[in-house]
Amino acid sequence: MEGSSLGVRKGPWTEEEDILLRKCIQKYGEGNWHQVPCRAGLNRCRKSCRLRWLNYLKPNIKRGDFATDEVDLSIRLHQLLGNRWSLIAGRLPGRTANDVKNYWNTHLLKKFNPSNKNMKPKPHQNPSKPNINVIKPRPRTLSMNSFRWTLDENTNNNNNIAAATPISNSTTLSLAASCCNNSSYCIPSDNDPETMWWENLLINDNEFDDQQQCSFNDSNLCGLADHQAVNEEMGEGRIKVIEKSNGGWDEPFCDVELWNAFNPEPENCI
Amino acid sequence: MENSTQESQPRSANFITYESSYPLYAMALSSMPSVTNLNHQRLALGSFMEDYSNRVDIISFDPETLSIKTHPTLSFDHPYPPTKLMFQPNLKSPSSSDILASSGDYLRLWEVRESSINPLSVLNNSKTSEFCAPLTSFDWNDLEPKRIGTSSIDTTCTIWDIEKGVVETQLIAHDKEVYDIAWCEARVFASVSADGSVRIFDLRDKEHSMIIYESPQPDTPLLRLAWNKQDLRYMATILMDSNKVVILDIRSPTIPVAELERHRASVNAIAWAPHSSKHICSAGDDTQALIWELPTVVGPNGIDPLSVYLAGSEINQLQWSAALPDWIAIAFSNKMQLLKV
Repeated sequence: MEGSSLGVRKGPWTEEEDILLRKCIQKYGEGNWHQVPCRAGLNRCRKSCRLRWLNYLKPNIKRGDFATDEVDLSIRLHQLLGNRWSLIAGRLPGRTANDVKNYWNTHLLKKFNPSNKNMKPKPHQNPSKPNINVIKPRPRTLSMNSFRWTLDENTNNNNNIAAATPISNSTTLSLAASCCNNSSYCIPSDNDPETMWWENLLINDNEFDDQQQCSFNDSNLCGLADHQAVNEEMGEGRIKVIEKSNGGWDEPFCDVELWNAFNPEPENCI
Repeated sequence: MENSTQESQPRSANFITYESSYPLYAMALSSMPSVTNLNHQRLALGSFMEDYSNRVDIISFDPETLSIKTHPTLSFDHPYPPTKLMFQPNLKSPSSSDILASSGDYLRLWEVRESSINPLSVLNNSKTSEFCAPLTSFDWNDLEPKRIGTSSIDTTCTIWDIEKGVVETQLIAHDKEVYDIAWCEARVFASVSADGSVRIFDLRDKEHSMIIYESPQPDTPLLRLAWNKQDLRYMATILMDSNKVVILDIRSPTIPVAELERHRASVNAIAWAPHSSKHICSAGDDTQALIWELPTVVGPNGIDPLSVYLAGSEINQLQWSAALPDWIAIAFSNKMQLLKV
């Protein structure tokens, strides 16, 4: 929006502003919120426009009080899901997450307040026994690049195949993966040091627990940032691993450790 | 095996049928034969009636005489249809009592003795007596036998310590209902959900999970997950209303290693071979049970099944016996059949 951000209007929306916003959305559709204030001729922040539309002006929003079945459903869903309003609103057609939250906090919270422990609906809290913390793991999607790199190394190391250079399309990747699996479809029983490595991993499970808390908890692992950096670090790390033979894992190898756990063939050779 | 070519011949040596008086869904095969007769394999069959009262029956199968014996005393009531049944994995030696776990409204444990069944415990995590989140599935950790992971429609997975009867941890695993859960090692498991993702969790790092596959059409639920116990890199999953079995390699996330596409209707159940890392069996609404051998190189036309078996109606359940790797159990309508591989 042109002009300084200090110039935007705050406070309640007027009738005229609502009309301008509606017209704009009807004309241009719902996306591109950053252009909406300009197109509508509104002196409002774009975030404000979007929220006004989604929570109030959208045609399918139900006005009026919550019906008894809606209230009932909200209670059940809250007991199941807790304060995850968007999930609850997902099951209540015509109600926004905001509506549900406000309704809950104004009308229903008192009934299900912690002071009234017997009726406490929160499903994951146990008032009489130690609280069981419900943890929400943050999902990570692995970048294909970092994995292709790992896969290449794997292939090269374990199968002595010169091929499997970085792959460009998905079909080839599947084939490469299959090729890589070539010798490992049958669990290698003839390769003693490799089997021992795998056993070591399981036996030394406790050891790994004490050491660096690897698993997925490493910024190097997920390809959020710079793949190049990841690859390079992983490269170094791998070399470090070799030098230390079976012993301690260095930081960046959470992923290596995890995959090693599954891979009966050791990655201790580059 | 060439089941398809033997269809015209008398197949008495190749399959045994058990007919129940109600539709069957959940099925479990014990990991250890019964102590009285070392050849007998025990099966637990759960009914599927849209009603509160359902039943679980234990029967035994003798592969030598190809006979099935029912035990009227080894039968109990179960509230709601059990969504999954599983015997204690890896019993070291034949013992007189086995433990059977069932999921439904809660996770329940039952002690199965030679001629009676005693309920052991009901594992209930919900703090109100009114509502509980039904469990869609569970998996018994075979490396750490006191650990069972359950999956629920309230988007969480709960890990139980069944010896102490307490929750070890509870994770909000997905954005929508979780449909299946499978252990890999003592502390690593994966789950699939209506949000269409396969996620791997490590109990040592509960703050993070790893998405290794998402269904190509966003929000297509993934219904079942099976981890290849012989080769822990591979997992298989099925999408809702899809005729494909998707094989995943955890080292190459987001891209399936193979898609097995020979069923003519939706696939309902999958099971890896307990003794071979290359074989997997799948069954579906096209009444077929297919056994596949995963090749080292995927040809251009996809993979064809190794053998085909046609059942009488849509197959709802499939279990591959770990104790008797030559036999596969399938359940369709009221019947259970054991097929010789």
